[in-house]
Amino acid sequence: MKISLIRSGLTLDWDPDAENLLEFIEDQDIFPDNSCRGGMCQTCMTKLLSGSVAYVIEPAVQVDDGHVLLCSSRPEGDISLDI
Amino acid sequence: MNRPVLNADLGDPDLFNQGIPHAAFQELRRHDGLAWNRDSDSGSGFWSVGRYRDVAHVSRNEDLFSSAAGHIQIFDIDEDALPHRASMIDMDPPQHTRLRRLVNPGFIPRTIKSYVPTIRARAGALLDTLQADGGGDWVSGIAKPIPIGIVCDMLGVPAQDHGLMIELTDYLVAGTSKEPLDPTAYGNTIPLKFLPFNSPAAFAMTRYAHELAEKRRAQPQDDLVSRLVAAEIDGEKLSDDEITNFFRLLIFAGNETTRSAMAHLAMQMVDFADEFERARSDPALLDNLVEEIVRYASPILYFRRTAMQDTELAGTRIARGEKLVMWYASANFDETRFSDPLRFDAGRDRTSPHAGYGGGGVHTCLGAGLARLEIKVLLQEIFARNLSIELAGDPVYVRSNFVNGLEHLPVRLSS
Repeated sequence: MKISLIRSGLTLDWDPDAENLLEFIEDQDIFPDNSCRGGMCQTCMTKLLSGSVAYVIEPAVQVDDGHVLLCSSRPEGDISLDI
Repeated sequence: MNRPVLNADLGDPDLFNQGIPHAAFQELRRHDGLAWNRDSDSGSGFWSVGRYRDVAHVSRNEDLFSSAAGHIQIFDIDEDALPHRASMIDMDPPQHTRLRRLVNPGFIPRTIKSYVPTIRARAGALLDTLQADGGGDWVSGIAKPIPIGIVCDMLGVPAQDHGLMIELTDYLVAGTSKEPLDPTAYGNTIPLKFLPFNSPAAFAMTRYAHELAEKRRAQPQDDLVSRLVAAEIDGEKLSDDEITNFFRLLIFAGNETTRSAMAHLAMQMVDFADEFERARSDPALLDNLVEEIVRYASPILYFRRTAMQDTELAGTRIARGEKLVMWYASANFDETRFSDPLRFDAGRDRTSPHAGYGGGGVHTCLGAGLARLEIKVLLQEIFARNLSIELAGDPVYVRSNFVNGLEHLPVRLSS
């Protein structure tokens, strides 16, 4: 599975050991804004430009259309993010 | 206007001198809507929010319920004092987001995991010492030194100053009670109202942070203070106040809270020995047990918000400018979220988070991952030694309705 970070110009292979997208991206030394790391705020909400994700923690806050919470989701296939 | 009130005064720290006043909080949760708590000193009062759902609502709507207006503790501080005291915990987005962005990288899972060997060595050595002595004060022997050591390592505070940081933290907490502290302590010259926690310890900690920042400016190291002095937001460096306020927040939050959880852990081992034995024989339960320890301890009892406009919560009308106190210590025992909430259950389902790290929203505890790891490693070291704990005297609580801390916990250890 390929994770494309469009603004960073990076395409990376998903690490199946990563708990979620936030942790995966932080492991590349890119640090998206975040606060609760548990689907309970919208700080890490990011535009999903293509593909889809599955939530490992059901978000407890509103997720806008076309966006994902990085802290509580994993990719379901190739995805690209506005990062 | 007639406002519904409780029998108990949740503003009175003495209500908390035997731990969480569960009966008062049960009354609060049964109450229709919110309950108004008069404050005899100010002539005003605050709304008590006690159900998990309502705490989460306040916590996750920072536009409506501000941390920057008024104060995040019950007592008001003068408006002209706020900027001198403010760290990111007293801010709303976007200011909060900009500051949190600076420290988040220090708390990502990969970084936190790198502290495990240090935590394990420190916890093991302290347990061995206390056991060799046959016991002693669990708070000063175990609960205080583990977390202060880690947060000082992160910030770059040398080992010889750990004791001073503990002392200053204790004196910050003392400022959360209603009685004013000695304004001249630590050579303080600043009016108490300008000092965080209204405590002269904040003066001493600010001075310490200032000196450390100067050293790191001259000679950067691999630590958070070096990162803060080098950081730029939109091309601007942090001000001296911002750096020293950050330092104080991280020292306080990084040691006082985990310390309380670790102190309660020992009491819980005495009260619920079977549940700890259950987790010892089934390591798959360890993460559940860590959550249950924090839920049951509720180290921070509340934070306050201020309503930014007229609104309604749980059928109660709230006027702009009124205070709302989110009682985490009540939300964590909400019968509608936690079945049989007073039961300590090492296997409790983790998919319904507790409010021990806050009720969600942008102010969720920055160090939650670190705290979880510190508690887990301490448990592993206790289990590896097959230690059992008995009380050797009565626990002494910190006099506060803000932190659920223990001053002393005399124990006997055996294996």
